[in-house]
Amino acid sequence: MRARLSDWLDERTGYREVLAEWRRPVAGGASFAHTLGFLFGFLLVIEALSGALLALYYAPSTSAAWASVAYIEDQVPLGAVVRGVHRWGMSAVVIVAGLHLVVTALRGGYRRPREVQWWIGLGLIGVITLYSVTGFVLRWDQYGYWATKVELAYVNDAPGPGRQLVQAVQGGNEFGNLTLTRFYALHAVVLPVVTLLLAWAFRAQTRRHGVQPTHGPARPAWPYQSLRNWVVAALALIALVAWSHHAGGAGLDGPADPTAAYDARPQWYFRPLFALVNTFGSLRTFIALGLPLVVFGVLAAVPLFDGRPGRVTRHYAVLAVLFVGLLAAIGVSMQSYAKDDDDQELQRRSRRFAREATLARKLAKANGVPAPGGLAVYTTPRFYVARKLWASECASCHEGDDRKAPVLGPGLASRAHIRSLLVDASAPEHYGLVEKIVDDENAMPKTEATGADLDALVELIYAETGADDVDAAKVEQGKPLFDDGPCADCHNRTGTDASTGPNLAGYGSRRFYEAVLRDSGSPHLFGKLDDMPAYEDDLEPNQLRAMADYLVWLRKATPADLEALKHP
Amino acid sequence: MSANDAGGDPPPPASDATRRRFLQVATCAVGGGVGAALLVPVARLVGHTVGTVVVSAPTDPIDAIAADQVGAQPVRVPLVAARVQDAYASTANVVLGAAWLRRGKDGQIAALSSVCPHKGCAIGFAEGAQRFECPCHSATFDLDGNRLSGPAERGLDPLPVIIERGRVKVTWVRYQNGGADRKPA
Repeated sequence: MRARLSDWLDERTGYREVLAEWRRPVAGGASFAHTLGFLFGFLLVIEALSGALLALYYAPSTSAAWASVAYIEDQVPLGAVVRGVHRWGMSAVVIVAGLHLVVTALRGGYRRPREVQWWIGLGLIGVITLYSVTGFVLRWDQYGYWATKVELAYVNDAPGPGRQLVQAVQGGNEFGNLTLTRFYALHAVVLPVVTLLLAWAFRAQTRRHGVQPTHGPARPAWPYQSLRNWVVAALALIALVAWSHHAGGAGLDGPADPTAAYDARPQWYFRPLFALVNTFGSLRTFIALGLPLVVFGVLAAVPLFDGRPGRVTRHYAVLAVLFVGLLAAIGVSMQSYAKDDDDQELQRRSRRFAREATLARKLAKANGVPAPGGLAVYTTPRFYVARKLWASECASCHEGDDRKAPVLGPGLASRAHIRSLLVDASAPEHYGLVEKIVDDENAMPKTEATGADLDALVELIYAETGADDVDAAKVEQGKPLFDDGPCADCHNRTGTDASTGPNLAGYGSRRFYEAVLRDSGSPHLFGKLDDMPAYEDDLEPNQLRAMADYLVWLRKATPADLEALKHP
Repeated sequence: MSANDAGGDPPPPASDATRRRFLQVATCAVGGGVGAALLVPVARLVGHTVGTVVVSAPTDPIDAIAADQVGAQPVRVPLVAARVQDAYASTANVVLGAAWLRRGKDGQIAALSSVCPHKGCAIGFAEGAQRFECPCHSATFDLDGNRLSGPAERGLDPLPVIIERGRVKVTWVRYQNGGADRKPA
């Protein structure tokens, strides 16, 4: 039955012939030196697999890209591991490809009849470096945004159709939604197809020409070479996961901020270019675009220069150029890394950006990212609008030792605060620093009320805040004390009638704060005693409301609550 | 594989057979181990969304319409959530679905989900026939949402209603499609 089934299948597919390929003895035998090709393919499969998993979550739009990547990194189980493997896996692919190139050069494996295979291999290396150019921008974080911005700027400066090329690739005149869809299409569809075609062509060449012979007896690939291949693949996978863990995964900066002075740096395999561009400033466009072409041109010319075996001098010349080039690249890269490490300002900036990234990701996890996109995540903390206004408009006068006006902090319009105002409104934490008030004949005198009377007055004013724990009996007690006592000489406590001191109706409520913010110099508020700017024309209704809500919140807030607000 | 090298070597001696077998098993073990390791992230990332509330649905009553605007004729009112958390995005003013509101003979306002209990299409109201009709598979329901004809296995799903300060507030609930019993989705 099984035999008949396999006959049926073989007649239609010819699969036995394919399997027999693996059992045919291979010249040179099995060797760990022959595992690089398999490893290259294996790593590409890892890239494709991890890429497909990331694509389950990733959204290529300026509003969603950073948010979706942060979601993968911080909320999807194993998401950070998959991202790390995907990022560093491509570095591993570059290393394996480079190693393969060096090993091939050492053996003179580019010589006749393998010239075309050498060129296909060079093409593969060129294509795989493009994954980093197209991949990092997809994160839409500071790192990817700025690195890609700079890379495209060099292409833009290229003679001829540079500008048109950039606008085609980035999808228009600026970085935007189409940049992400185009780079995503390149990264996840176009480049993989090209890579697959080149890898297939490379493999076909290997079948035609055989692997580079070594000195072992001929053996079939299965299982001798296969075991070595899979052992190396398993070790590579373990090393990749370990390295990614050590390097902190793929990493994710804060959302792309077009105003940030971010230190853009390329991937490590472009570091030599970066170093040279910065050393020879006047030649930067030529170096950035021309040097890669020169390098690939020289490598492509190698089989033409040293095409036949036996010409040892030429082989040595090739190796000398290759190794000098490689050492120079390593040297300038290390120098460039060391320069960054020694740059204290740069280190300080990068620590700041790291703190920003931590904050942004924490907020994204806790609050989600609002519709406008990544940067809007910073607006999600509680009282964000109010705190921002506070910092720009209020803090200079109402906070700290250099202030000029009453402290507006935790406990504002609480019972304790009102009591303290009644006891001494000219204390420095109240109106003591406002010369216009303390120097005026109408400055508020200290209350003479004490004990239960003071309690009742406090409760009466406290009730105006709209608090839910008001003692109604005390309020009733307070009314005659207020109306018939010295308070009423300067203050109303109902309606909107003008008086010398502020009308206390709704004191400490949102409506009251909004009125003060609009124009604290209104006749029913501070009138001619006023010394604060009017914000009526400067603040939008939602800003006024946000600020008033925040001031109301302060009533019940403790200093610890305020600290928690400042550091979400 | 190379044509000029392959033929010359003698076939492996018989004593090699055991070793060969061992290497084959070892290769399958290593390869299988790698494959199994790769299945773990695949299962986790694919399966993360199974049984996870990715899109949050507010459970509070949603302000729909002024109570005096609801009469004996059903009115369709969209239910808009102030904020919905959808995976990574937090979005304001999201339309969750619609409710058909109608004042019954007893004067009480009742709400029916516009989601057809059959396959989830949006129910419409046929004024001439005075009944609810599903555009997809022709299920029909009377004014109170009771099933009249068609493939639906139950009547339209009622939604909780409260009246506050003259406003109708409806709680959005999505039920599973199909079945005679209502199960929250």
